[in-house]
Amino acid sequence: MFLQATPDAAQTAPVAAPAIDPTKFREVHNVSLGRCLLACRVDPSGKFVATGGMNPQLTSVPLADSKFGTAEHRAVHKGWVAALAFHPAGGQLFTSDYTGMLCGWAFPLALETPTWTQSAAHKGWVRTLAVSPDGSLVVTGGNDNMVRCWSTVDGKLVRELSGHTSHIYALAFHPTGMHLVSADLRGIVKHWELPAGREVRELDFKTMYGEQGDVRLSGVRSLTFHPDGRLLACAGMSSFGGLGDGIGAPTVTLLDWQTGQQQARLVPKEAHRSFVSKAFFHPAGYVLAATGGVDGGAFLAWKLGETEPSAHIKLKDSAWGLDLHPNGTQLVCAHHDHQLRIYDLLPPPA
Amino acid sequence: MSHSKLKIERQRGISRRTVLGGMVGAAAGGLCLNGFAPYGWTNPVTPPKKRLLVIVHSGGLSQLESWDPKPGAATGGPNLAISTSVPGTQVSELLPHTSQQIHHLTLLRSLDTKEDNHGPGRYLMLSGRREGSGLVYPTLPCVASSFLTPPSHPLPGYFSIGGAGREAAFLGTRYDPVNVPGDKPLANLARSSKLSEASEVRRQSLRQKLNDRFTANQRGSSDTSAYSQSFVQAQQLMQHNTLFDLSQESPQDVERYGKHRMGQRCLLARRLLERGVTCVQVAHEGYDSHAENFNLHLDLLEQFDRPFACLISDLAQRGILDNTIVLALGEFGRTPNINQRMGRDHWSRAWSIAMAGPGIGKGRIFGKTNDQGTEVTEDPVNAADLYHTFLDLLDIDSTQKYTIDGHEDIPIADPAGKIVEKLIV
Amino acid sequence: MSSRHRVLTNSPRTQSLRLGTARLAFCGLVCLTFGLSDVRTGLAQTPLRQVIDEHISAGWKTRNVTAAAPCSDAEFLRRIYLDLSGTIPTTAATRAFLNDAAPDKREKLVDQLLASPEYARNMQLLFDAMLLERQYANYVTEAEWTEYLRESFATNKPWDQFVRELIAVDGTDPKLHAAMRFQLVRTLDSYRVLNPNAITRDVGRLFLGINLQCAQCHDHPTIKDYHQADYFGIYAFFSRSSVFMATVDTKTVAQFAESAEGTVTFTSVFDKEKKSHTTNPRLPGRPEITEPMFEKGKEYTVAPANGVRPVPIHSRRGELARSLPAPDNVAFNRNIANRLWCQMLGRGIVHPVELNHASNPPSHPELLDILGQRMAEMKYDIKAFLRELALTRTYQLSSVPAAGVSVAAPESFATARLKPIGPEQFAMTMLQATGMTDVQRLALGDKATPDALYATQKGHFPPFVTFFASPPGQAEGSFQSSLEQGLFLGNGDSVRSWLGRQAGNLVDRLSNLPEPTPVAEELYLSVYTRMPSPEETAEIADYLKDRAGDRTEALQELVWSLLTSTEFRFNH
Repeated sequence: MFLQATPDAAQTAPVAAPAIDPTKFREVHNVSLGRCLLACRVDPSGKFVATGGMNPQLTSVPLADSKFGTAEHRAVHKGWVAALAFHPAGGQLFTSDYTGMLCGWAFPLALETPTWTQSAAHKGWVRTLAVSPDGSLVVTGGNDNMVRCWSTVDGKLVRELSGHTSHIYALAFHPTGMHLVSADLRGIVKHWELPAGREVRELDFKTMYGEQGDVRLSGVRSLTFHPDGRLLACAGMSSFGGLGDGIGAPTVTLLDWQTGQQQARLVPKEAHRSFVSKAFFHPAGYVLAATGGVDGGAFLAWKLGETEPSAHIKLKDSAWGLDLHPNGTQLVCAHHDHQLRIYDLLPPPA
Repeated sequence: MSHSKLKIERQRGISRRTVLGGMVGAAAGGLCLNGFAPYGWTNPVTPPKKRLLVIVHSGGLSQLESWDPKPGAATGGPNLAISTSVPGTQVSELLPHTSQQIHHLTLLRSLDTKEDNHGPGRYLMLSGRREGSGLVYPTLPCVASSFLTPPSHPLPGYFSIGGAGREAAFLGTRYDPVNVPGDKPLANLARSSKLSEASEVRRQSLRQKLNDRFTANQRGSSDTSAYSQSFVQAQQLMQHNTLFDLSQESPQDVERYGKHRMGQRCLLARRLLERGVTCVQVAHEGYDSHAENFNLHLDLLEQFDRPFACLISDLAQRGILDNTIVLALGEFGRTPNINQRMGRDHWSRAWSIAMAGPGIGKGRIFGKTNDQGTEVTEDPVNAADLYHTFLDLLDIDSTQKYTIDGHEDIPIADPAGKIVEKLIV
Repeated sequence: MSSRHRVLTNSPRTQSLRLGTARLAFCGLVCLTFGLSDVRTGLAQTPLRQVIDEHISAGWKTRNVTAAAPCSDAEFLRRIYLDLSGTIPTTAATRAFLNDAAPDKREKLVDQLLASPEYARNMQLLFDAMLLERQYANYVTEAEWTEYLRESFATNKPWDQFVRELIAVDGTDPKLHAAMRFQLVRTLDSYRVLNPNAITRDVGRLFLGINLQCAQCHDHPTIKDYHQADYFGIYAFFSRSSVFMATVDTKTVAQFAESAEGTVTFTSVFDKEKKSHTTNPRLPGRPEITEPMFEKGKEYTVAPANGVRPVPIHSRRGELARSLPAPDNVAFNRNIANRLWCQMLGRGIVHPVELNHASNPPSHPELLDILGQRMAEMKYDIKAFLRELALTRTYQLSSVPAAGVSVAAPESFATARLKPIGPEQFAMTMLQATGMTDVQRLALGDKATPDALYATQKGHFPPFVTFFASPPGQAEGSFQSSLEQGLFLGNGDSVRSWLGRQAGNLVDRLSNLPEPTPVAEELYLSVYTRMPSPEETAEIADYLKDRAGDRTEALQELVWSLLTSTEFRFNH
């Protein structure tokens, strides 16, 4: 069943959208976790953040009153932890790494080992994960150009979606659960109809792909639907300079899901050479994004309907992961400088 | 080493400015092409005793993603290390095919070259000198070609695939590489379709007749004969127009090496070496991964791994590796630190190259770096010493001097350097 | 020998040297004129050309060699055109000169060529290759630099003034900004820091005729005149300089800055004790320069600060600009005299020109001294000096050695040397020979100025530079040949397209001549700048005999063969 729309926290928000002011974006707390962090997710209860990065550890950090508690680590993965996703109802965490391994964990982490493990879910890196709105499927994308759907219950392979010709970089479920999109290095976004797994169409984001000599670079780094399902945000880098030097503009492109037409191309007003590592819609009517790259990290916010950012705030270092707290007013961000940071989107109380 | 090394005296017409008693004859001034049979030629009359293949990782290959992996270290990157054809030796998982050829190679893991700029780094590795001394030195293949190519050899001594350089410096354009694009025909190699073969024969023979008339009355010199020879040499290479024709290679080989640019370049390198060329250089560009180091090395090493493994295996199988020094090197390595653009920067303090051929250990690891790959901990090797070693491996006396104009003494290799005897087996 | 002087009217500087004429016959064949070079003192000096010929012919006696015969008018015509204007004459100019019966036609031609815009262009090309060696530089464009060079030679800027500009330039005077390129090409990787090693080597080579390269790390191993201290003495003139980015009228421009601090110390790599030496700036063979002492903090006219170009009260580069190009600097005078000699005669009196030292003695030491001295007395007037050289018997010898005797050693200057034509000059020469320049002249009509013609020729230079020039950073030295040259001339687009028949080009002109004899004449005059011999005319007739069916192809074969022959490749 894919009809119940309960997407994961980053893709939707509580029913009553809290008012935020992105211009008041500020750091409220941080914790150092001993390696560059590449991904983070807040669990649906808002009481934990799961994170991972440049070592095989999975880390769970309790979160209360805008503060982190004592981190707990699990060393099951064989390589860098690349992606994480929670079951929309909580209780389960899914993680993948750079060796092709996929794990399903009971959450909060009570046990030392995962409930189930697919040690070779893909050949090569598994950069991205998505969980269906009904929580039945976890979908992975690999450097073997494959998209695979696994049962969240026991980790069994349910379906395999083939057709991409380059590494899979991002995945997202439509809020209805009837559609899946997968994006690759070459800027190709495929639309799959579920549950059949039929390829419906291909959306072209080649502006987010570049070649330098014989090297393919950039790719679509983030895919997210608007909670109402009418817009798709596709993010990465465009307007390349020297790709090997990571020169280009962090970019979010908004697409009308029905027509496939581009609605807006969002870039910062002031140059900030970096990739958008994660972008999503905030229910208060914003597109929020975090970037990492040459000029370091940035937080960017655009009001829906506008192309000039309402906030462009430089971060202390590149941000590779970003998630919205269920309270709708805080962000958690995984940074290159080993820090997990909490940011507030409201002005400090007077 | 017991066998004698090549001395400059044995080198033909070393320099455009060499004064050999003012009597640089045609044999020295021009390229002698006596042994040349215009049609149906297969093998050179006198094959070179030693030959050289250099593969240049332009921009700087990451040693951590290739020859000296540090899986699990904070600096190690996301890739694993894999076993190789030599028990106990591991390389990065990005080299699955090459890993099965390690028994032919020495992995030199302890280079400390102290030059972190591209131009000077490349120059240092290929000329054995630091830039900025005021004098430009020739690169190793030019030097090797000038010593090793037999006078009767029908082909130029040095082909650079994917290169575009003039590298011979004071050795003169005669020792510059013939720059072959690798994926398209050599410029000006083909006769115009509008020019018939008969017309070509007529005009070349008239050209020769005019030259003979001009140089009668003792007006000829090494210069006039060298100029005339450049046309003969061009004609001869045109006869060998299949030299660069990969369509003559088996479809299986084209498939094995890969139809991408690097695959084609490596297959062409094999073809040239098989036909007796003295020195070949293959460029593989794009390694300057200041950003996106890991994504970039995925692609680059996929393009490098298989053709390089094919090349090593084929050269070994065909006996070419018995007389050919193979070097795979860049201008430097890359920083153990992973920067905020997910890149690695320039790093010359502890990096690696791969070597193979006579005098080079098979399946050997030379030198060592620490756990994080930040320092050399065993057998450090610097660029000047390495260059002496390269020359020695090619049987060229590395302590001799160029005599330019009969007056200047220019040491062929940096006099502050010496052969790394331990590196030679 | 007798001479009769006739004082001419007031004339510009270059002309002032033509104060006297005298007829003087060598071997009863060559007519030479000579002039007084020192009008300031009023002393009658032996004309330089005469001094040269006396020394050179005396050398033939001591070396026991026989000189070649004087060159023919045609040989002279092609040679002097190539040497002074960088190309060959049009067919019409060739016919006119060969038919001119005037006894002083060679002298008139020399003057005509020295006064031509092509002279300045050719000198610009030659000195660009000599001074920059085709290296790249930031901040001053190639166009700005070449125009500065062209203008310097067009106005016959004295050599000492020119060198002074190259060294002293700081970029603050817009008129001289382009001169910065000489030092800018000698910067390190970042293009911000001057490379004192490269400048030291090149100042020695280019302005003093000594290559101290090997004295950088220790005293020169084999040249006992070259000391490490000499190297670092020159080095010290430059070691305090750097590139400074200034803002002028909202634009960022490069200037040179100089610090008042920084000591040069050096150690020989052969010195086991690693004894360190310190040196002030010093020219080779001279004492160290005693520098004025300043109180700490008072060394500057403009003190260093963030974003400010420091200007020291005592500039070391300024000191070099004063003491290097000076009449009392014998090495400086001899160097330029020797380089110009080499340019015209194909070999220096000291050869190679940058290796002037005791174990590489000049072939004619006294003559070289005189040439240097006269150069200074002539106030470094390059045109006047070249004029004297061009009018010597020595320059006007044939390139065919005297028959029946063994070939004389090149340093005896008993035979004219074969000089390879430079890359750009070779392109221009080919364009003229194939008639493509004539086609351009026609197309441009009354807009066919030398500049306009040069602009069209310049577009053809790149492949010639690629295949015929020394690589960047290498001096254009002796002849270089390569397989790629053969491929380029045989199969490349440039020559192939010039051989295609176009109205007014050579193949077209030949096609319009039905008889073989005029074809031979037009072909030889156009390509070889001479009349064909009867044997050659017969050869052409024979070649064309059975080619009525493919006559154009036959003519193209003929033109190509002449173009790619050694007679065409060299200036002889």
